[in-house]
Amino acid sequence: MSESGSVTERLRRAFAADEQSRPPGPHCPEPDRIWDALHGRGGSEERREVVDHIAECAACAADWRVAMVSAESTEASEATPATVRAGVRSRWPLLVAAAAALLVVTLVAVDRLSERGDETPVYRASETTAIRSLIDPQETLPRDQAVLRWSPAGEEARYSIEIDTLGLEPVSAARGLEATEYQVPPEALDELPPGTTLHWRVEARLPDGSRILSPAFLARIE
Amino acid sequence: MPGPDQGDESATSTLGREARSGPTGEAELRRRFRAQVARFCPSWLHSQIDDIVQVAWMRLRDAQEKNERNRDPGPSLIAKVAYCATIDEIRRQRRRKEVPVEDVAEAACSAAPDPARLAGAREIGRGIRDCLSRLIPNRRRAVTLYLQGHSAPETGRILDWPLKRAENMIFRGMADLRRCLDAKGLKP
Repeated sequence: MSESGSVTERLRRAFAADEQSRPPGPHCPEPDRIWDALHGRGGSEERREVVDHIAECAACAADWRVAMVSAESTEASEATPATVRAGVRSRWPLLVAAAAALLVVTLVAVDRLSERGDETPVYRASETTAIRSLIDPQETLPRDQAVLRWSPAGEEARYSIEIDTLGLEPVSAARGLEATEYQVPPEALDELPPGTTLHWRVEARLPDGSRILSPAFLARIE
Repeated sequence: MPGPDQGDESATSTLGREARSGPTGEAELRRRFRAQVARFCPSWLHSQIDDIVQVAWMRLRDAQEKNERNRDPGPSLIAKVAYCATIDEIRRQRRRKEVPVEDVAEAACSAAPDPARLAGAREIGRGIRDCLSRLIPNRRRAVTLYLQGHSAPETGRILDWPLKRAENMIFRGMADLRRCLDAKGLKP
């Protein structure tokens, strides 16, 4: 990560660390207004009002971030492999065009960023800290070697992991992990029928006290 | 409080009829719904998850009753209802000033944050909010979304701006923010 990217990440963590536990005030927007604004629904003025509010209200900014994480996982989890494949087949000319356009935009952006020097914000820096599963969702994990892996959230991060069935029956959990992987104890899987899908997510705790919560991931065991 | 899987037949009859005749089925609908609540629910609130699911399930049923022509709620409505119920519970807990169980557990954990670093981050966080209040409104909005983790295209989509404008507002706003923090003697 570049120096400017590191500064941006520190600013983001500091912004998120600011008194999240404060109670909501009388002017806090209802959750559905936050949700709609984040998803670009409702009028422009309404969305601006919500954004203006989260600029000054740490509690509502935290509520907004909850919707961000969940919106990503919703989109990912609702797309079945079959529908994704069908969509790719029917839209491949558009995807090729989009990829070409993205390449052009990226080259232009890199050129512009290099001209601006070290203080330039890195617009996609959020992607570097989002925790991602490193498990192939199509893979079936062996019971005696069910290792869940994820991308690192930052230096000196400590991780907590919770693993449940889709019915939210707890399977296993761990705290204070330094490694970005966790092997589910085989005995925790003893009672589960073959082909069970596990629902797991990771929370990273960074040295400055900020937290990064991953989306929920799925993993199938043999 | 019973979870949605334990609700009485009359309370869920509408959904039940729909589920039996629809392609997804009630069980599948409930599974999706429960998974959504789990995604939104922070770990310190997991002990309340059944209550949140129950409240959200009732709201979903009300929403469906009001929209007779569209009984299949779809993923976006399910997610929205689950989100709203979860945030309502988080706010209720904040109002009661309950200490999250997780904080108690982590106080004794070796991975607990360095208090000095946490205090420093909070001080900078307060400085950021003060500086944001001094920015030109559109730059403030762009920087706020950027600090929340949004990219320039996402910022443009939320604020109805073209990408170029969103990038420009973020760039200028971040420069303003850094100058303001410098003036306060805050070094992120």
